[in-house]
Amino acid sequence: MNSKTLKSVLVIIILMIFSCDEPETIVTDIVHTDGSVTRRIEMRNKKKDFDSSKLRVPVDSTWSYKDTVVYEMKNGKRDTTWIRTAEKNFISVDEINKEYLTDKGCNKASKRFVSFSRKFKWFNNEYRFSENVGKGLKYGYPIENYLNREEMNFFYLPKSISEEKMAGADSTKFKLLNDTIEKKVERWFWSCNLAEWIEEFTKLTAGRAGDDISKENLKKNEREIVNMIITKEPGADTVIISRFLGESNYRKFRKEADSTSSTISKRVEELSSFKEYSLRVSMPGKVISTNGYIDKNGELLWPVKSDFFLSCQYEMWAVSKISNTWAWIVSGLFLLFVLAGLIFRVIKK
Amino acid sequence: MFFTLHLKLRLISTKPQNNLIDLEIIEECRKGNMHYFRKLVEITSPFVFSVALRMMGDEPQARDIAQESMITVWKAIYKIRSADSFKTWLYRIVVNKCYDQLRKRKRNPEVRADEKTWVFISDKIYEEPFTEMENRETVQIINLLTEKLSPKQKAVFVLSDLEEMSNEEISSITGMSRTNVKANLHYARKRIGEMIEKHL
Amino acid sequence: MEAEDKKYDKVVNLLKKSKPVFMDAGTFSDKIIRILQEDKSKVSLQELIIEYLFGWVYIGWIRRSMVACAMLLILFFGYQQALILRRINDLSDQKVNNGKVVMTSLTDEFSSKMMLYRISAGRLPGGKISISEKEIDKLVKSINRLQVKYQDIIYLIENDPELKKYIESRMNEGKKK
Repeated sequence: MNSKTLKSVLVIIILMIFSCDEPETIVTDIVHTDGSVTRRIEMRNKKKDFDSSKLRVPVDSTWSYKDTVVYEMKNGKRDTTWIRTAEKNFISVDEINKEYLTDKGCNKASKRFVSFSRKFKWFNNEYRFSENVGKGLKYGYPIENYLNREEMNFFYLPKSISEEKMAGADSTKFKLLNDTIEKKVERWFWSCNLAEWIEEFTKLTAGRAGDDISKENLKKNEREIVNMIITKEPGADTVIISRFLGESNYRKFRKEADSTSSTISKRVEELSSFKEYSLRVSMPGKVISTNGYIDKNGELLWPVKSDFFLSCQYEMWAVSKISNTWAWIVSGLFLLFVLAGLIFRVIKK
Repeated sequence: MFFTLHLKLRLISTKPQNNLIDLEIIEECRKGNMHYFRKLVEITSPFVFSVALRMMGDEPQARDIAQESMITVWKAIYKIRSADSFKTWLYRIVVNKCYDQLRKRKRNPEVRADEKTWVFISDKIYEEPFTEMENRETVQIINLLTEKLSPKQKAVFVLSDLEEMSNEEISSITGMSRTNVKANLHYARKRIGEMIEKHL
Repeated sequence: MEAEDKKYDKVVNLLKKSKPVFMDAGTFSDKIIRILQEDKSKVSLQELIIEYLFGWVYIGWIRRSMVACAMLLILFFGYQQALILRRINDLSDQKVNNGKVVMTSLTDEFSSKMMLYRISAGRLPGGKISISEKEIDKLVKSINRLQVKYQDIIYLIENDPELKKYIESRMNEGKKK
């Protein structure tokens, strides 16, 4: 990876952190038993600008929407927030997937899809709904390799909740936890980038590179290089490549190295340009299982951030059940019938 | 000698013997086999009739009771699992049906001594050689002797002294305790004995 | 006494020897069989229905199969319910009781309505007032409408200098009065 790419990635990360994140978006999916979904999107912006290219989820003219405005006094200054609420009813999740495919918004590069399934389990009908975002990097490592269970739980928390915890009763504990996670996430991020680079480079140089720059050998130096990137040793930019490939190999495969670096930076750029939003899901019946968070209204909540799908597909799923009354009745009648038969037999005896 | 032989044969044929009511017949009847039930009826109806006639003292009534008893046997034979218990159970059905009928009958407030019957009895007990009586005559004598007895006393007398059953068997059939059986039998014999003494 | 017993025994022996004769035993059997067969055909509707419904209990393999099916159904139900209960219990770890409601439309959430009320509290006279939720809802909706209209009007005025001048002059006249 060359220094130019490294710098651009760093800039992108910085931009990512400090970028203007309007319009803030909450997507609410109200799932119905027939597989139709009523999708409600709420967007907040400081100005009345809801251009489709800036939207984080696809919304077009087929949606019905209304605009409201909120005025707030903050430190003697009037703060204006525009809220656009758009709603559309989708007959099936396939329609939502079609909209994702033709998305022209700021998150169009990410591969998103929705799935719904219904299972008949005699006494209950189970409904499974999931929204998925495809992974950004093909060869990254799962975050589970870097974080323990407690760290994972904190990592996936919605921002509002994690901020509350860091300001709450055990703030010291959560702040420490947050710091630990940040360091580990940084290492994980660079490790994924490097793994991606190694895979793409070895693909490009397949059959031509010597054993010294085989995939296995390059991976052996992975940890060292990541440490270098993280610690940013003086002159790290110049020694990274030579340390990694060896001077002679670098000269020999410079073209391939540069090509790989631009591919990786493009992928990272796409990922970093992903604008975060929140997803809420309302399931039919009683929720029995989910990987999301349940707020006090009983709605399921997920943050959708690029971190979550850096190296693995991010699936936000929920399973709910509705009792089949008729199945209960039929089973009850059958059991009563068998019992009556047995009693009848005993009496007759 | 011929009469003695005939008498013995009759005893064999009318007194129910366990080896005449096979478990096989009972099992087949439980399965609903009408053919085997007919056999059962043929084997058991003579002594069922005998008990009923001695209890009721009226032939048509005795036949009716025998008929009802057989129908009850058919409907309830699934309860029986052994040939030994069958005999007691059958007697119980017959005796209970006789009880029901006897209770319905009104008791005669006055006892009218039938002199002709006493003369007949007197002649018969000393008759040589003995000739069997007809059903009508048997019934007349039993009615005369047991007129003052209650249905329970009559049942105990018939089962013990005429059908030659043990107190234990009578106890199972009637549902009375052995003490009650003895007591009722004693009283029945006493009453009958008094009548015999008075008139013979 | 002995003589009495002897007489008694003689009479009883007489009766013992003369067993009642059962005539027409064959006809009797036939009659019984005929009655039973007639009875069979006269089975009541109720019995027929019961026999039809519960006739299966007499057939061993059907009875056993039905009982096995019933047991399996009960087991399946128990297993399913236990699984669901376990999954629901596991959900308690994911419940966020103190989570904020992230974002809602102003006109929907009571708390947001209250925020607006708080904002305007300074302009309201002091003291207690009781307002129903319906009334607040109406108030907030009308305020929203007015605000939108106000923005539009301000925009028009800003973009039209002549109109702006006219309105300013009218406002100054009003102040002087």
